[in-house]
Amino acid sequence: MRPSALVLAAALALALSAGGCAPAPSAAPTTARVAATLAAPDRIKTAGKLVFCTDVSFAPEEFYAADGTTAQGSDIDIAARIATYWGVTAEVDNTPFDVIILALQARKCDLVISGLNDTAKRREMVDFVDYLKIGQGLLVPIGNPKAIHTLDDLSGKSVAVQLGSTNLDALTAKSAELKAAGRAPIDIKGYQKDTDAFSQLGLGRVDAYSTDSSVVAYYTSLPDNAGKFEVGGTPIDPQPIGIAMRKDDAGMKAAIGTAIDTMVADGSMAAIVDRWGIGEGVVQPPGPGVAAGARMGFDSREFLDFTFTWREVLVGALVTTLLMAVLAQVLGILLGLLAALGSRSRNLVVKRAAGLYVWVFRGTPVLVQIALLYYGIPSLLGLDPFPKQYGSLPELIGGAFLAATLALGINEGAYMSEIIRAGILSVDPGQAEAAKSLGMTPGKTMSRIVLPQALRVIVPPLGNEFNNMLKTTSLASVVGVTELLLLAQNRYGGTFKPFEPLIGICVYYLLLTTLWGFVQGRIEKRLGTGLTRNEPDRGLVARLAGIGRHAGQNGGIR
Amino acid sequence: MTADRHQADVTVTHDLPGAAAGAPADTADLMVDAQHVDKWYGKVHVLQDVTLAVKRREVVVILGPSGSGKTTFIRCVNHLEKIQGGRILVNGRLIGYREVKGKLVEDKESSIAVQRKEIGMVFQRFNLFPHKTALENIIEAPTQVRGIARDEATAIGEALLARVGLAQKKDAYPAQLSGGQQQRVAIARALAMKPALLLFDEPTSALDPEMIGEVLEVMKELAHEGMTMIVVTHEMGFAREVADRVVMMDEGRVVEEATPEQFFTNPTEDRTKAFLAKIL
Repeated sequence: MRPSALVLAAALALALSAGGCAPAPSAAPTTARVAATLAAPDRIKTAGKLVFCTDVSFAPEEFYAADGTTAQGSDIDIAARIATYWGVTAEVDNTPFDVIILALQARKCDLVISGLNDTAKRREMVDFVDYLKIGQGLLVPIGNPKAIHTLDDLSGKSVAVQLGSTNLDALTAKSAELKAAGRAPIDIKGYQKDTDAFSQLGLGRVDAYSTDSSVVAYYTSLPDNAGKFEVGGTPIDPQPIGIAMRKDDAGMKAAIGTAIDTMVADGSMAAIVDRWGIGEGVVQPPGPGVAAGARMGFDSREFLDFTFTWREVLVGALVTTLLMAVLAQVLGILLGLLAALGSRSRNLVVKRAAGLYVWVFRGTPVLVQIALLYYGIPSLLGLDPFPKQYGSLPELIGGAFLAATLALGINEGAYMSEIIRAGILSVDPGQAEAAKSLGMTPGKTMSRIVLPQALRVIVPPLGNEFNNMLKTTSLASVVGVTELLLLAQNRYGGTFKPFEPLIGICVYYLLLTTLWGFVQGRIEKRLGTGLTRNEPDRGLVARLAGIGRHAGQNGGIR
Repeated sequence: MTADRHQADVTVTHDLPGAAAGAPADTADLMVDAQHVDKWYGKVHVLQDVTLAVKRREVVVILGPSGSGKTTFIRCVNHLEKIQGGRILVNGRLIGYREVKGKLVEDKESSIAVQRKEIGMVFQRFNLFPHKTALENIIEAPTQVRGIARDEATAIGEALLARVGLAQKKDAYPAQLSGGQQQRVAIARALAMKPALLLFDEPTSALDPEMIGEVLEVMKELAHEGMTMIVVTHEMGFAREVADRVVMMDEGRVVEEATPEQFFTNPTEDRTKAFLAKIL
């Protein structure tokens, strides 16, 4: 998938060159709907749209424009062009690269157009129509201080690369080969996003960065990068890049094949390749100035613009984060209460079930649970309970949002169960005896006498849990929920400035957790009613910093 | 209740002493009828063949050294504790168990709750609900268990508070009351359910000496009004003055039963004599 650098190698798979003939006038295809000129597969025609999975963090093939919402790049243009031929609209489904084929198989999208290398291994899972041929390239600091020109030169050097990419496979194989030959292996550092891998080179943490030659060409052409980087060597091992589709998707492969042929024939493919610089020479003359691995510095304008320019996508991410945290926490409290009561049940089946729930969900990572729910359940059931969108509901609360919220809530329930159980145990058994001796049923005894008193012990750790939950929502970014973290990632996927938006979202996380600190303080104060003669107010600072005793451990007379 | 109603929730069973006898002939007259009760905590035999009957309107005081089983016994009377042998009838009905094919099977908590409505209990440590005011403590069960309207329950609660001399404390939380005041609220709380039987588990043992009198005063009044009471206490004065009958327990057994006069002036058992010699 994403090799890198040195040269551009973006030779066009389907003979773009051959079609030196008919140049198309329009440089970039548009998404405007026009009358279909090619026959679309029936399913697409009916839907009126073509949904394609792509990992929008891979300039110049797919990345977000400065507004953080508009996907752009050569793949985006190609998809738009195909949609134009078919008289439908193209829709981006931003999907992490390492699960992109799973997403296709789970029917989250119709196609994958994401700089995906066409390999034999992947052909076992999906079909491909190739559209470009791109080699792997290496990007190194200006002046190439470590003299890296071939993969062999990487012996004993460190290189950053995206996880799940063919570049990683190639580096791993080369490293083994070097080792077998008695040379130092390559120090390979993998990152989930290609832009993160690139950042490592910018920070001087690695000696080289491996990605597609087209990407290397693009990076060196950016004004921001002038004089900082250069391409090491020539493109290595050019490989076909293809559009992937499900094997059982009737008519899709033929229709895409025709569309690509048409793009080559009418010159629009050449125009796109030109527009994004992937067909041009890659080797930039070594510039003067900036030393290799120089710091990128802090761009305060970028920080302020990202953080404080009020825009819909920012509000959306904030609302998503808060809504997800609240819903997941509420679900967690309900499940936790059920499990806590279940664990005290005289019924052995109920008791065991509650124990099993807590054991499983506290004992496995919540990130795994999110992925299991979102990717695993559809492949298990053969139908997708988590589609991109539910009817006319906003996309904000689509399937990914629901799956992540459910997983976070179910996981939280396992922790809340133990907190609630401890709260119940903290109440003097004499209280339940007094209630029982007045003829109160077990249910009333619990709900009216024991739980209200247990709250005093439950609320302080519950506040902690919710504080945590506000931040744990960031995990939902892995399934493509545009909460705060993904908002930031989308931004620096286009700007290559990760520090500024990441600090920006920290501002918002701090804002949310601080506001919660106020709310929690009020709740704790109210719960104290009647329980103590005089409870000193701990004050906001003490509460936020976790200093001082919890109200619950400080009760009145017993 | 019928024997087959709750057959699903069998939890504890034990054999009945002798043949599954019906209730004694004079049941109608008995508020509590404990027959051959046995109880173990693990290997410790805390109640050994305890048989004790309490008539309606009778005040029975149980005396005895610590660990003699007297508190355990009255906790069995409203089934806060399970028993492993014998049976206890309250108001003519088995408490905590039902009879299935000659064996006693523990009842569902919700069924036991119905019977407990008739049995008030006052605890050594008061056990007032700390998150509720004095008045709210009192009206909780009438409104939640008996379904009495809040206004009506409030009127009853205020009257009961006046009766125990705490009318002006209705909005106070337990933490704002003295021990004696808390215990008087606890008595009012038990009375609000209009119980047929009141159990007192060492009601003055946790009080400062100067507060004991105010609580005993309320209890005396209740006795004079004809409330059926079982009182576990160390207050010999109260036993002598108020009890219809005094029961001496030691090491899980009933050692002696007598009128107060006979008990304090002419006890028959050596263990009673030794006990009285120590505390009087």
